[in-house]
Amino acid sequence: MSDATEAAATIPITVDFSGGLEMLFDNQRRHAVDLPAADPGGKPATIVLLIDHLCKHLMKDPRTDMFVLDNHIRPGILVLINDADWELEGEEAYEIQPRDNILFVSTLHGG
Amino acid sequence: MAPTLCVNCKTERALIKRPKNHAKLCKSCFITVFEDEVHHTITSSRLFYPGEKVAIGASGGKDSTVLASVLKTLNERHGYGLELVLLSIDEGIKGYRDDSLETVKRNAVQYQMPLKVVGYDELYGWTMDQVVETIGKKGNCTYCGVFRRQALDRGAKMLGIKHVVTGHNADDVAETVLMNLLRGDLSRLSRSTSIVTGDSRSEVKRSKPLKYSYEKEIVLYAHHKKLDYFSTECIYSPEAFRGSARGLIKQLERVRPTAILDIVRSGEDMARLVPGDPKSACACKGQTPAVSAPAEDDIGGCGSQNARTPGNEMAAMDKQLRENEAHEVLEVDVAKAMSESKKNGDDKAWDLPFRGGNSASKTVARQVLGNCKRCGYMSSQDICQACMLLEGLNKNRAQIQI
Amino acid sequence: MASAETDPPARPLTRPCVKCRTQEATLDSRSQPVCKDCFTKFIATKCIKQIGILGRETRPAPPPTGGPPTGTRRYLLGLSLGVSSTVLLHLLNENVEFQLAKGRNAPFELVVIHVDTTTHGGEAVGPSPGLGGAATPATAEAALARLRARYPRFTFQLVPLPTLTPNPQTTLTTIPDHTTTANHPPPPPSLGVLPQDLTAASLSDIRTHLTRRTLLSLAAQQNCQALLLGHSTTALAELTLAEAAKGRGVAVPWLVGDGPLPAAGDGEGRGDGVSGDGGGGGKGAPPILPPHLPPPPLTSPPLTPLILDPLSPGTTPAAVVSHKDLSIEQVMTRYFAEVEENYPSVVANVARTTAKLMRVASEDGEGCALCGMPLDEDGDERWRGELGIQSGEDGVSAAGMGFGGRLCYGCERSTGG
Repeated sequence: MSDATEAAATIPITVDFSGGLEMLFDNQRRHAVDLPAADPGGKPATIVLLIDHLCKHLMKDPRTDMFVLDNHIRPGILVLINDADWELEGEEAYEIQPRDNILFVSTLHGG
Repeated sequence: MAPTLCVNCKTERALIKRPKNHAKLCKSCFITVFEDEVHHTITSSRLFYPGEKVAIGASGGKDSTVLASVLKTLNERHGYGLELVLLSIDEGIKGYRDDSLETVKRNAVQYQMPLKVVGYDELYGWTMDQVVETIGKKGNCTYCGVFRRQALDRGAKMLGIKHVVTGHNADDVAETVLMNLLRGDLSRLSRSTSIVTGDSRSEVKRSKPLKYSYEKEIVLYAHHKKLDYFSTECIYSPEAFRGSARGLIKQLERVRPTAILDIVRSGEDMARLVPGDPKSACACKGQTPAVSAPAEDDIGGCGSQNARTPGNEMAAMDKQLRENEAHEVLEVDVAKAMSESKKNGDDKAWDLPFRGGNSASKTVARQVLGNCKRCGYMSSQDICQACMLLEGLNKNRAQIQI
Repeated sequence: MASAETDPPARPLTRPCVKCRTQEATLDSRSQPVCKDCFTKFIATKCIKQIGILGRETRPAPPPTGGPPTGTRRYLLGLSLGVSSTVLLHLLNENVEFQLAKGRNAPFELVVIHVDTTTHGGEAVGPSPGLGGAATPATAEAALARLRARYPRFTFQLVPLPTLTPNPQTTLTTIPDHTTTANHPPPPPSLGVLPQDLTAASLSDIRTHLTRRTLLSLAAQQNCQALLLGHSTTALAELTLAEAAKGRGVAVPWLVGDGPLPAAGDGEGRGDGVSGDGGGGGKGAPPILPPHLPPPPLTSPPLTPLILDPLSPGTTPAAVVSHKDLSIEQVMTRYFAEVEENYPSVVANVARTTAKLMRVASEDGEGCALCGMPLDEDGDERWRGELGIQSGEDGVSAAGMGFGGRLCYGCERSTGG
């Protein structure tokens, strides 16, 4: 995973992948993630930062476009923040809190 | 930020924002509303009759798992009196179906439903692995789709069941509507929007109780009810997200969530505008549900969403259309093209592609359904697609053996 | 129509034009190499053919006293200042010049109107989604001035979206046939009644349809027999899918095809369209910007300086801030840019298919209070249950009240958020 960037503060969260997305993340559904508490500009960590972090540090699969499209979550992937639809929580602008659970579910895969 | 409360019960925290009307609901209100709406679809379309034996086409994926769960719930809650059976197809792809079939087996126990698994080998004498060995990966989805189409019906027949329900959802229907507009297939547009397919001539009728349910809500229903389902990609299906109608549907949903149902609505309305098609798609006002012939619907309909609109289907469409377009040259150079088409012994009259006020007089060729002379399955041709493909495969096998 | 300029080859006739075979191909048209001359001829021929058909359909009636017809054909061109409508303008002008050069009368009079959708009642309402934010009233006025200088035979007007005098007598978007007395369409409703929190997609849809109705209304006011819109084949495919995605499937044949409009009562409505690409075009369609027409530099002098938002053909609009802030039309444009590149024939086929659908008017001739398209009672009845839509008196919803009548399904959706 990450090669420990300095001793910057991090937020411990859990990130889940399902609906086929786990295939992009080592076939593992649940990941414990220590997310930097702030982005390089010093702003609090949001979903935007999390997505970037996941692409850079957690995803081994080269098919990033199955997760991210035009720098945003690919339409068709649901994001649940502590079980609530992210649309109720401010979507990408949601500021991540310690011990949050973020779930990414693909609706794009078959059965 | 204070949590948003459910607009329905006004006590619990809202967890779901509904795509069709932006309503914010808590978990239990959402589950109730979701089930109530499927119930509404079932009753307004008169999908079932008391005592009916119904096979649920079960792949172990989200759609069919949710369908099985909801039908079990509604059957008990509203006393439909249905005898529900899970029917699974094993295409014979090693390493692909194993996990899905395990999921279906668990579902059978969880929902206390009998399970029947039918293999392609049993039905056709070929597994998909053998097909791919013979013809290669290219175009194998066509075989799989054609075989699958009949497999559910044949499996149902083996069980003495005349009604198969599938997990097709609103996103699937919307995608089919757009694909049929792109491919210019109006008769298929008409069929694909019907909730019930198959008529008195066919032995098995098909229906889609989740036709008006958003895929998003199906996934959320499965999530919040903690249903046991399996997601996978067929190992033979190309990953053709790009340019696919599926991707388009999802982008439209992101821009305006109502778009998916709006496309379904448009598809139903446009189906009524197809010349020579008197039927109204309306099922709730009439006495009998609107039905239409299934014929070769849903080709490429393997569990993999990707494969539904693989790039090669678009490519095939484009190639065919381009051949037809050779005629379009006519518009510019009539004399030259006329002589060419005569050379080819082709003296079809060409219509100007556009224009012409109300074109009601033009009729779209309707397929006449009969039965396959080999297997008896309903088909618009003398020999059904599956038998045609099998003939090719068997010839190939014979050659290889020689 | 895919067309992109390719690098000039080093040696002559390494890639001959598929049409004349005597010149080097410098363009790709629907995946075929063609030369500049053949390409422009191809486009012009297709367009002129459509103009000819339109001319026959709008032939002035002979006077009651007998003798040859005396009236003049008069058309209105909806000009978005984008590529397609500008090319169409150019071709219409060439057609007139050609006839005059032969010593004939001008075949038609042309009124060219650009509807400014960026302001409403004097207030800015944001950039026009169709123009990629390029047009403001000032830049549009400047562009029209350049066009006036180049095409002095035609009349050019800049019209803000809402300014039209009300005419309460009428109920449907009908351009009067030359045989009928004035039966003006109602003025487009005002934007003032819309909720504040509309999505970009909904706002764009409403503006698009108001623009179209404004043009129809002006065509009637100014005694034009047809409204011409510069829809390329690609634009028509986009329009078909976009309107389907907005729930207006029942109106698609009217919106995409050429020919008369849904007519009230006596069925005397008439409106016709041609497009710059021999495709449908048609009066119903909004002036969105289809990027796939002939590259403007091919004309002499080039049209490029006249085009306000010169999207180069074949380019995909740049990635946006968020997937969410696009309009449905923009999503379609992006999609077709991708599809067209690989499957040009599929794109060309869409409008052809749409043309096969029947055009059905409302039973009572009533049109939607917003877009003017036919209402679909059966469909609405059936869907009420699926959507749980509540309607008020006489099926007029809360949003419809603001527009003074019933709304079609698509407009209900757009006014709802």
